[in-house]
Amino acid sequence: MNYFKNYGLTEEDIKEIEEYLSDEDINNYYVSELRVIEILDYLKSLGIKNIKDILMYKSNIFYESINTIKKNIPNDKIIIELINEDYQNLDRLGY
Amino acid sequence: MSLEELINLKLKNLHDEIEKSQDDSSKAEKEKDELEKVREECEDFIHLMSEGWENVKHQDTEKLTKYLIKYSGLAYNEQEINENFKLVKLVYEAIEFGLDTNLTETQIDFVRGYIGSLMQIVKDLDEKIRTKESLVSNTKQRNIINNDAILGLEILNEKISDPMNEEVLDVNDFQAFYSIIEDENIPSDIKKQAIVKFIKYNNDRISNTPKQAAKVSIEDIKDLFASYGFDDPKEIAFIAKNKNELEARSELQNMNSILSFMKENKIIKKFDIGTILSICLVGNAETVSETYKKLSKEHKLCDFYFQTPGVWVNNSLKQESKRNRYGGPGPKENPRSLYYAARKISLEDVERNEEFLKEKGFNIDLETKENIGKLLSTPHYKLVQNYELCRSYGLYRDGGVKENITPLYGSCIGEKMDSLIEVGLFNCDGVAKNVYGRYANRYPSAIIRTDDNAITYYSYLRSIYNPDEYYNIIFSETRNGMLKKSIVPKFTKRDGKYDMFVDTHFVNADISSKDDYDKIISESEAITYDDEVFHEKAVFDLERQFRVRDNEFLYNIDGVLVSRNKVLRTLSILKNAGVDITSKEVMYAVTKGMYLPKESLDKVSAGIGYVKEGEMVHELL
Repeated sequence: MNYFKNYGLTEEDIKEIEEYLSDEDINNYYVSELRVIEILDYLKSLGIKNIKDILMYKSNIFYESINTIKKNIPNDKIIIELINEDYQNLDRLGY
Repeated sequence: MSLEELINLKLKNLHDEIEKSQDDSSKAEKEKDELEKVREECEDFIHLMSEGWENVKHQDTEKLTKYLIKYSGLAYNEQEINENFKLVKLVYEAIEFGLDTNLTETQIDFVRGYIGSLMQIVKDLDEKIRTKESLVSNTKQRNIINNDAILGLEILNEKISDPMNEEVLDVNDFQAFYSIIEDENIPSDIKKQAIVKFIKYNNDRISNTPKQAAKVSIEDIKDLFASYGFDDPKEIAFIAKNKNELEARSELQNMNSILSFMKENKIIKKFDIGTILSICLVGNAETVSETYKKLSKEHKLCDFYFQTPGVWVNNSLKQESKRNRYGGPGPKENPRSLYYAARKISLEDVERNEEFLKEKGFNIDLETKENIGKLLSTPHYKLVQNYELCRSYGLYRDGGVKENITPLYGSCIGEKMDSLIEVGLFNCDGVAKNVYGRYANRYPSAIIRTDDNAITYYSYLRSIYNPDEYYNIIFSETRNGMLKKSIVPKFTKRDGKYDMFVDTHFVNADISSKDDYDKIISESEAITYDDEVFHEKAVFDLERQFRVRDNEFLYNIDGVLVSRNKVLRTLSILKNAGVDITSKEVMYAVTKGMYLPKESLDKVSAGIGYVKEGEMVHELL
């Protein structure tokens, strides 16, 4: 999961994420790398900053297709602000 | 015959045996049901006649006579019996009409004899039913044994046949292998060869002898994929990254057949490279074609399936729940592998999940499979178990909104819900303001993301501050009802700081039978408790003294919050295992999974009236 480094994560962050996640989630990040990258690029383009928290605590997002993510997490200033304030606000979008 | 061939032969025999015994068993079950029905009808007749022979008027004696002839094996004259009953019924109708008449001596003897014969039939049927029951029960028992043998052999087979698996075969594998040695239908020379091969296999693993040389080169795989349009540099880099696994596990011809089928049916570009590689390692063109036909027919060809390799291969994960209890789905597989992706879920599990969620009324988009990818990919047994657990903790109640699905795919959510209750963040109505005490009810995803670090730290804060101070410290001042983000220290288990924190601030209850009880609990699959547990005096006392009013989830023992479900479930399991429930067991159940400083532990001991062996008696409440 070295590709997480392109989103500002350190080696230590990646280890922490791996320690926290289930084998199924680790496998999803491993096998679906190209799709996960698409989603991460999209989240980054929206201005979402707490990527590490989302990778760690909201791994369910990365089981979706990029089209679903684009539809469910729209480019809306207030939503992005809420997510940046606390990733927990993704609960409000059904995640 | 190779080890794999021999294992497959044994597996086939076991499956055949199960199939045959299931046929026999369902036949016996059907016959038993029929016999029970006949017995019931005969008993009803005997009972009614004991209340008064005039009841015969409304009885279907012709049907009973047919039973009598069929089950007695005696040569009764059916026509004569029916004629006799017609006359008997006529006499009783006449009496009812007011005529002064009665049965003749011969008729009385006939009815008496008939009832006696039916009583004998009931007795005979009892015996026959018992025989059928024992046949059904023996078959079930044999099937359990055979299924265990199948499970063991499947795991053994996976280890042996997987070119990437270099594990030494262990005692469980030998146990599984032993079912072959015990089989009297397998010739002894084949068994002898098999033992030699088994030993050689292990010696090779111990001496690090590679299982086999690479079958195909990564360049051939890249070329094959490029010829099907997977030539983007990112895709090529992904293939290269998986060189070792692909070279060890690939069959070029098989890959080509799969890709060719996908191209022909214009679905190839719907898959991403990771999914398609994963399918190519475990599946074949036939399994892909079967899934494709099924999904097309049911109009289900959506993104979710194209992202889930397991549904395109033939996954035999039927016994997954059992495998999981044995420590994981078969041999420990590296999650950083393509093979793992294809093995973690089957089409059957996805379909069962979908059906289950629909039936339970979840408000999610099952048609387009949006926003539920992770949920549908959860093993079915786990989804069902989590749903039942959530229900027992008050989530997803009938008629309520079923929107947040996050807890359904979590692991160990029972323990997590208990912990959240005990740190005052879940189901704490009556002891904290709703905004704090129902935090996890409002944000159910907290159930899966609140980690040990947070629980231990909140437990620590809760023990040193009063409730108001505690909630003020952990909740944000600006974001109403949200937890502060950076309050929990970032311990990692690797640096030892977490263990140091736990050792410094908390103490163990030190209960003498803890290890035995832990074993009993870990082996149980109980989700909730049996009501019989309330018959225990220790439980009755606990309920009377510490149950929080109008709150079915909580005990409050002198300020220490305890999950009521946890305590009752634990005690119920222990009771069912034959353990006597005393204050020691209550102490075990209450403190299970809790982080308690000495002062809180003393409060709990005093409240429960628990006295450690060899210590002075605490004053009972």
